[in-house]
Amino acid sequence: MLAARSPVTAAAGSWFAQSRYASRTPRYSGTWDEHLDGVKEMMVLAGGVWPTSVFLPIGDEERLLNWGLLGRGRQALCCSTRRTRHPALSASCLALAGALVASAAQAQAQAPAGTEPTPPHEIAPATALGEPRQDDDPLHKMNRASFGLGMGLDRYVIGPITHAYQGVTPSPIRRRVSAVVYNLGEPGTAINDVAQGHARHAGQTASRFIINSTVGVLGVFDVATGLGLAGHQADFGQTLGRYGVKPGAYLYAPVLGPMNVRDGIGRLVDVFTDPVSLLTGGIGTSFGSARLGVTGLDTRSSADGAIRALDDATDPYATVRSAYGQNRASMVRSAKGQAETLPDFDAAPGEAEASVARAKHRPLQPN
Amino acid sequence: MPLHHPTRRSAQLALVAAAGLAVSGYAQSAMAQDAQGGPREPQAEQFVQVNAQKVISVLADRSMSVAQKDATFHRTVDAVADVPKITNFVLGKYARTINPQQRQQFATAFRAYAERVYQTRLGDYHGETLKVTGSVVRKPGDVIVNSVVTGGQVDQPLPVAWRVMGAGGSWKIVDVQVKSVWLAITQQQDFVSTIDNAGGDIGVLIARLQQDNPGSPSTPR
Repeated sequence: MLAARSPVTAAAGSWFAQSRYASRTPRYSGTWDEHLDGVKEMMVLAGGVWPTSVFLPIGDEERLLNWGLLGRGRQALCCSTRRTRHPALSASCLALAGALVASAAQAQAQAPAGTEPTPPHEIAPATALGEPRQDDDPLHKMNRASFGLGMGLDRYVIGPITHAYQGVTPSPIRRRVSAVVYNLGEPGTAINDVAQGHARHAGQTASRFIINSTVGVLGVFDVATGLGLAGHQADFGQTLGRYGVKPGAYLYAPVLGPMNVRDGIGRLVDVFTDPVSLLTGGIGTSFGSARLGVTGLDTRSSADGAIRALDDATDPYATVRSAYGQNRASMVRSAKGQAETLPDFDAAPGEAEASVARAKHRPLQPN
Repeated sequence: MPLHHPTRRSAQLALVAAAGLAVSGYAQSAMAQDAQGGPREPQAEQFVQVNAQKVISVLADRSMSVAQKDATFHRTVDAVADVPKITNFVLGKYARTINPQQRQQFATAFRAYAERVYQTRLGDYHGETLKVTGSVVRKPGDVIVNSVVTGGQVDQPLPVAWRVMGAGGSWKIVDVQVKSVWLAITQQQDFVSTIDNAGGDIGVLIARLQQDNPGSPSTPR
């Protein structure tokens, strides 16, 4: 996954702008306008960026998740670069860790960790189908190719490593590892709770972190849940959604997994604002590298069942896309306190989709 | 003013105590938030409590042979799930274009496929218990029952929502939500995408489901 940053992203941006999916193409006009709205919002927030993910070991500077953010000649965000004493070894470890994290991110689409409060379910009549739909995936050809690459990587590299980890590590130990990983993410969750205006949740998360880090021995034991303090997740993508930023197009990156434009930028912000990383020095340090690797391995291990379940899907790509979309939509609704809109099982065949299509002023497409 | 000044020190201690109380107060409030307001449907809740636990228990019963478990699970599914409604739903927009012969073929293939898949997935759980925590009436005859699965292989309480439809004493499950993902909705998008990619040929989906039915060797991963 090596690529020079500037040519790739410049080409990607040029292609994007001149794509046949531009708003002048009637078939995609309704959906693409919405997508462009989402992208424009992202550009305003991030200073005009087209995200890509590359792994660039450059000399003695390692960049694991280098989101080559370029747009209008500006770099709105950059990754941390740190010199290490053993660049070759660190590069390999970071590459593996990054691949694990990305694979885990993909797995997270189907099996997010942690317990979240049960979202409210809508009372109003529903006509919409679950999201995202095919029309929310204008880049589906590229995404499918990326998905195939990602699944191959998981089958031949990430999966075997994970199963080896599971083979040598007893289940009780793996659960303790998961608890530590989860605990280290609590400060980031609390920050996003505050950003979303959820003081109660922030307080609960902070309490969990304090209790589990002290009484729970650095998070090894989840004492807080036993005290009635349930865990939940919050991230910057959710925070953006909370304030009305639309998700934008669905994306699938071979290393990073499923995302949309909004949540992809959210992930990046989370990486650079993670309090634990800021305090301990980031992924360039031994602790940071170890944390990244363990987090990726743990997440992939936890989601092994979900990944195996894809074998039963007739279209695994669509299944991952659907699960990811539902999960992210649920998280944003939870942040907004909104009820969930569900399809009507009693509607005549196709009626639900037809009503949604009429509302969006576009013809039904057999795709 | 030095930090050891009595007044300032008392104020500092008061602030620390207040912060601690505030944190615990937030925690209590957050815990109380689990109880969602709104009308509930006790009969639907009772239906889920009894039957969902029954399904889990059947699949976790290691004293039964595979054949016995298959037969018991099949009968249980008929009793608790609205199979015709689910079968129609997962076809999405193609439910209005499928011909009767294909519909019958699909219904048979989907039934066998779904039982195999859910038996396998649910069979991963052993010793879990399900507790209904409440319900929300979406509209008369359409209820979401919320529950939590704990114990066994589940480290953290796992929220599971059940969408049940019916009335009076007759309820049937039409969908299940695990970790914010509705299974029937996901299945629908999976199947519709498969048919879309086959140019609208439903027979491709049917053949795919028949290929993965019990008795056929599954594709090794």
